[in-house]
Amino acid sequence: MNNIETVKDLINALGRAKKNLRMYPVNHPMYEKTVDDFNSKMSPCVEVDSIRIRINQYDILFNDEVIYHSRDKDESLALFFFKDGLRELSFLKGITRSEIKDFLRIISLDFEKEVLDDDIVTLLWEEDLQHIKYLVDDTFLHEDEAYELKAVEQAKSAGGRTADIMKAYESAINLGSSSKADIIQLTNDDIQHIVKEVENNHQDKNHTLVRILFEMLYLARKNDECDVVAGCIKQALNHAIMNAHLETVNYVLINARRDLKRPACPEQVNVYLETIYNYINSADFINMFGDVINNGAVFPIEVLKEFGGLLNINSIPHYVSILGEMKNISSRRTVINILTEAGRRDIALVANGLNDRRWYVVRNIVYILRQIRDKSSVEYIIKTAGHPDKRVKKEVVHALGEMGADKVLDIIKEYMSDGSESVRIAAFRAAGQIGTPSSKRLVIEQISSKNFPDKDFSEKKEILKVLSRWKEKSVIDFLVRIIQKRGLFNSTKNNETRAAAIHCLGLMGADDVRQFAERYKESNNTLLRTQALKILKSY
Amino acid sequence: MAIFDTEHSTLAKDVINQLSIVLRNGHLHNIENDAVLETIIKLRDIINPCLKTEGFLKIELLGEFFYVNDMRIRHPLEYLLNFDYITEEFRRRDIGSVIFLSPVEIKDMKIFLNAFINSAQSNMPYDAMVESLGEIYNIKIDRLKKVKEDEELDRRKIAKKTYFSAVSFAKGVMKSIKGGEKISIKKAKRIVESMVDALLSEEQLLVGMTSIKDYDDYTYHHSINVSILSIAVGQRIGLNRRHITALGIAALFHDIGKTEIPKEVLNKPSKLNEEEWEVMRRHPFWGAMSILKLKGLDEISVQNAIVAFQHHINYDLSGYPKLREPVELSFYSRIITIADRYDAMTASRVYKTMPMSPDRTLGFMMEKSGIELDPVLLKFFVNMVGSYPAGTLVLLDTGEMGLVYEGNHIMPDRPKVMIIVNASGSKGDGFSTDLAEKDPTGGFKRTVTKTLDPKEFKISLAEYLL
Repeated sequence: MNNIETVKDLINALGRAKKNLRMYPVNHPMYEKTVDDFNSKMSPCVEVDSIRIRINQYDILFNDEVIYHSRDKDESLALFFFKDGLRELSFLKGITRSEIKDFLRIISLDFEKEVLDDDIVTLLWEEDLQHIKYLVDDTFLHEDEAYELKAVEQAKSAGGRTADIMKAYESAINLGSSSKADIIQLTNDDIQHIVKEVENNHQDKNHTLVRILFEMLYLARKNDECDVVAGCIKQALNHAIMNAHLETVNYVLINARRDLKRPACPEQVNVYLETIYNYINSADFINMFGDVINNGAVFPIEVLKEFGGLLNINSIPHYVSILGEMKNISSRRTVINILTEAGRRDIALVANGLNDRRWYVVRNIVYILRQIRDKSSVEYIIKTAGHPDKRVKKEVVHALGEMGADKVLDIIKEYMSDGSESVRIAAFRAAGQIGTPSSKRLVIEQISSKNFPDKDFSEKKEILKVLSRWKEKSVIDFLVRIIQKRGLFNSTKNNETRAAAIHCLGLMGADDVRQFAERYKESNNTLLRTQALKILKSY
Repeated sequence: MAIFDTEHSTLAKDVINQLSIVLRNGHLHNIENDAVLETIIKLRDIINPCLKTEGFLKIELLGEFFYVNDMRIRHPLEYLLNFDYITEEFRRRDIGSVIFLSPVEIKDMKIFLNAFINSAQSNMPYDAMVESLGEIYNIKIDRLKKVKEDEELDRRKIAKKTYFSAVSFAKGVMKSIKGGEKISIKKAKRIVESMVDALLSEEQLLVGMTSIKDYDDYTYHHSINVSILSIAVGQRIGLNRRHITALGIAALFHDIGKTEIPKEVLNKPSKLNEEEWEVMRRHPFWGAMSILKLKGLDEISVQNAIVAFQHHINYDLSGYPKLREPVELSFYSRIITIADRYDAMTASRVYKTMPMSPDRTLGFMMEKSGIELDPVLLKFFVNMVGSYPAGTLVLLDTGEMGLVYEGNHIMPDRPKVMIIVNASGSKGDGFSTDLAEKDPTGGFKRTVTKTLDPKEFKISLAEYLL
């Protein structure tokens, strides 16, 4: 039998645990420690006997003695239990730590601050803890006692006269056989089917609601009805986006766009569809979406692309704006994917982002313009060519290589002598990608320049590699000339250039390459020898 | 430390499930068959470790539930068929519990199984089984506990109180909504919880309450009836308490749109004209509107709005409101549609047509299986209310006539009946009898021979059940 002091101590510990748990998230070590502490207090108490406490408005009693008293409306544990109707709590022998944890979790919820439809009784009831029992005052559920009396009287008076009963009996005796509803036995398949249904039922219903709301918009006959439905669609959209259910938003966009184009769409519906459509393209919605993306939400690429393709041009500045706010590559990529699709509708709006002061935004916008692959983007990209950041320059030169033509060769030429090696290499590759006779000339001209041999081997190798895209005799001859060229000075640099040229010939599959490889397979220059041996090995 | 606590309820379920499998296999095959032996070994391997910790193992059938060492076990959906089987076999033999007193060996289990199977041939199966078990000391059985008359009355009182409090609440809710006032979802939950509790302990009694339709405020009773019937299905299909509550609340609010229908249409004593039907058909739309206006969007209101909108849309998507595009019907909507249809068809006041008797209604609904109603959920529903649902007027082979007041989902054609005309043909005082009861020779004491429509004779359960 527990003594008063032990239980008093336990209830005080309960109050402390309740306060503590509010301060820490569930995964915090202090949360677990609080549960452990209370569990270690509870365990000896229920080892032999159960504990039953009574709850009054401001007091908690054990064996009819007050063991807790507080009139503080915010702090009182007694009042906290009392106001939801709890009148008795029993902790039974055999209680587990997990039950204690569940119990503490329930009582530590902030019922005042959080918007909860549940009170403590409901939560305890739902949890159905085997070793924590409670008594509840539920008189408020039976407020209208008179109703029962009235209804019963009414129902009883409706029938049951002896004459009627006897008439029924007579009919029954004289009646032929009658049929009954045959019970169809449930099969294992039925059970499995329902198990799956129960599992699926846990999924979010927001998408179904949105579909229904769309139906309701057409069923609404008054403006105030439309207002409510449209308002709910917006709320459902918010819910969808907050929970990263972009498919639901796509559904709304597809239907709104489709129906707006239909001449048969009723005028009042049209107005609301516009509102909904504009809402998805608004700063409010996009900023909210931005937060969700930043918090790590991930979307399938095809869903993102579909979404971007459904937006209108009003959304573009907002997406450009949130692009700079993204915290990491993954979230930036999400916005980039959206903008790549949405941006096709108005490249100028996307290109406005090139004026952003943040280099990474500019680089991303160039990347987006490059992905859009519209010739008109080139003009905007050219204007960014003067950007001081080498990462932007690289993106620009990539883009120009993919989309540009001879008219961008001047810019590319400039980049070929940039201070950054990676930019220079990118510029040569861009020229290769343009692939015109002029760009070929430019590359050859640069390689023929007197400074070229002085470059590092890796750069020379990358630059000469560019030539391999022109599988032409003139290019092979040019490479052969490089290999055969005799230098008076700095034979090391010349050998590096030879090695790079042999590598290029190898890439082109030129016939002459084997002959050169044989010649240099025993060269004293390591790079040249290695390159030659590689060629011989592969032939 | 007890091993049958919340965390080990799976083990307790496994014990019952495996015992059921053993009994079933024993019925199908020779006891020496390898398949039977395998199931026995599995049962032994589950039971013996439990016995080491617990000292004994008592599997008890009490009312609708099994208890393992006093821990109540929820009927798990995945084991439903095995649980139903063992329940029926226990009741058939009047067995209330099987107690394992010390670790068992294969030979003990074989003796037990033999005794169990052979007892089915006896007129007094329980006694026959006790006799056969005499040779083993570690497996005992106890007789099925019967509910005493006064306990039965008490249960009925609680069910009645729960039911009318819920109806009174539904009335208040509808009035509040009509008046544009806020409603308390917390209170709605508590009401539904009280119904779930009543259904958990005495499912059929509360279901029986739904068969009484003779109230002026039928709209409110209908909401509660649909809620009770839906919760009962939810329970059968193994929804957890939180989801059963959600289902019950959605059912409670399914017809909330009717508050928008003018009284003269809603309560019109004659048939509705096309224009009035048009108004009537808008109530799912108004219902969803009301719910969304009341609370905005949260988990509960979204479910409720979906159900309110979909409860007149059939399984094949016919019905109303007419949809522009097919929308998947939610799980709760399909359950509630069945409950709604059943309650509406058995009531005289909803569609202004002659109500059907409960058993005919079920027959009619079965014809709509897979067309208007979800076929699998309908099976669960029919199994739940039984072949003779509460409110059915039955003539028995004893010459007595009675009203069914409680179904029996284990033996669906053996419900509990209030005798209103005794065997001599004079009016009875409404004593209750269980058609599953057997006489000393092992035959059933009473069996239904015919059914009648009680409404046709203005006979209602109200006089006997309330």
